[in-house]
Amino acid sequence: MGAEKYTREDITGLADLARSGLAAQLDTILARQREIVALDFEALQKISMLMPKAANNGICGLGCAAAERVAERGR
Amino acid sequence: MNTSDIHTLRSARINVAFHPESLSMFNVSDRVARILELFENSRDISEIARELGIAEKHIRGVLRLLDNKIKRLSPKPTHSKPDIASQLVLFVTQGCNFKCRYCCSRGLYPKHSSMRLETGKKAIAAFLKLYPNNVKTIVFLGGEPLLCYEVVKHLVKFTLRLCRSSRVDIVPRFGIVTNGALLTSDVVKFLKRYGIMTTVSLDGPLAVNDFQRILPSGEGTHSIVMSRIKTLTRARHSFNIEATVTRRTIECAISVREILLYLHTLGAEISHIMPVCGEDEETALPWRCRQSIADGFKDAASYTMESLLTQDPVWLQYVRYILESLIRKIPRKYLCFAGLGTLTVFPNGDVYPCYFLVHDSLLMGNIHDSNFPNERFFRVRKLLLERAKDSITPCKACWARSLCHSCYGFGFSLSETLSAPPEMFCLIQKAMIEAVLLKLAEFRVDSRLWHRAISTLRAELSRAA
Repeated sequence: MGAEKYTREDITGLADLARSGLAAQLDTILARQREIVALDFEALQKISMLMPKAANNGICGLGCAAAERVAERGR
Repeated sequence: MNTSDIHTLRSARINVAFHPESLSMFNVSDRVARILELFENSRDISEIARELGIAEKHIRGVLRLLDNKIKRLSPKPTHSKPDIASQLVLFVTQGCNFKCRYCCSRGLYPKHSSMRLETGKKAIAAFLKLYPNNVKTIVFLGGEPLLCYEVVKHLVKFTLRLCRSSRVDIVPRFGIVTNGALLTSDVVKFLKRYGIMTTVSLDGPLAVNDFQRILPSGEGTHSIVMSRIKTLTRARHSFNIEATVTRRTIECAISVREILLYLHTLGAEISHIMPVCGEDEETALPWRCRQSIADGFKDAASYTMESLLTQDPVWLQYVRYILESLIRKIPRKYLCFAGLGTLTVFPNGDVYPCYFLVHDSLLMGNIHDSNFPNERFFRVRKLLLERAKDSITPCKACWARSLCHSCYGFGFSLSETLSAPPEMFCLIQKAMIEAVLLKLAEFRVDSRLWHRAISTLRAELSRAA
């Protein structure tokens, strides 16, 4: 699902809170944690090995035509 | 956390907080999205609290939580480091058999000349010797490079011979950007045999193309190019198409998505569709239509992303650039690689960072100089290395800075400075980046869509590699 995993530190922190009876705070923290969930794109990075090592085929961000007219005027 | 550290994106299905420096995304609730949007718009905490009716401490808590999550992410991605001469562009001729309304060969260069075989050989030999294994691609450009077909042919064979007889392990791939008119079956056979990546210029349907891409006689070129594309298709030589979106495209009420589909139907593997920005009344896109133009590019980028869920992806080149950075997790530090990775050799042997950056102050030397590359070469390279996005005022505070792919061409031709491109160009880039990020996030939270998209991407990349 792409949900992040809680770290040991998180769990210990939450357990401490629970033990100290701060249930309301625990609820708030858990609710807030659920409001911001890192999306895991590990599978995307895994396919980076397949990316061609070569640069592109000469097409740049702008290409020939886009700046040409401006270039002509600028000279 | 600074306001430029986060950008919030929304769709009907998901809210996303994007962190440009780490190229990471977070799925956020409506409440958090609203807080972040206001924060990004430089509203202070008390103002946000008042507007949303939330206690200030909760807003601080949300920002702190996000900040902690960002810090906890995997190591900060490294910026891309361009290798010298990873792409060698041989500008083999300034001559052309077309006389397109917007072409640089009409005015940018003082006179037409073509590259002698010896100059091309010297350039290739010099860079392969100086930076063995750096040169990944050699691109033939013009004018119309196929006017110098014999030179191109000899240079391809020369390079391969040279690689065989020297200590070069990585044999460069070749590319050519052509108007297509001279793609006879013999030429196509040669391109196919040597795996030369071929890009044909065609500005979409006849009504647009024949208005601006014309022969010296004034006649349109659409039918000529179409018949040559058939030659490529018959020979099963894969090719890309490069098209521009101009004022004419708007007048003909043709959308970017329609152009993309049109080029895909013709068999283009990847379509590179570029907006013509600037002040020219005949061709440049009108500023007053900027939002609808940006929306048009966004729609086309979304279409490409949606097509990843099928077996037949419809590739817009810009989307590939954006995905490439996200897949590699490498932010784009520079507007472009001119003078860093890419070097352009002109017919007389002059070396410039790019065919748009032609100016005495940017001349990197001449391939015939006995001491090439000399102090001039490294001075210009240093100048360009120092022009990273974080040194350009509008770029350094822009949320899209890690993913945009741009060009110095516009700014340089107007003011001879290496400045940011026109605002409209940036608007279009940002619109496409938003489309890609949102779609990726939508796919990610639905495992069925995610696996389909990843499987298509994997197949596409395996094929390209």
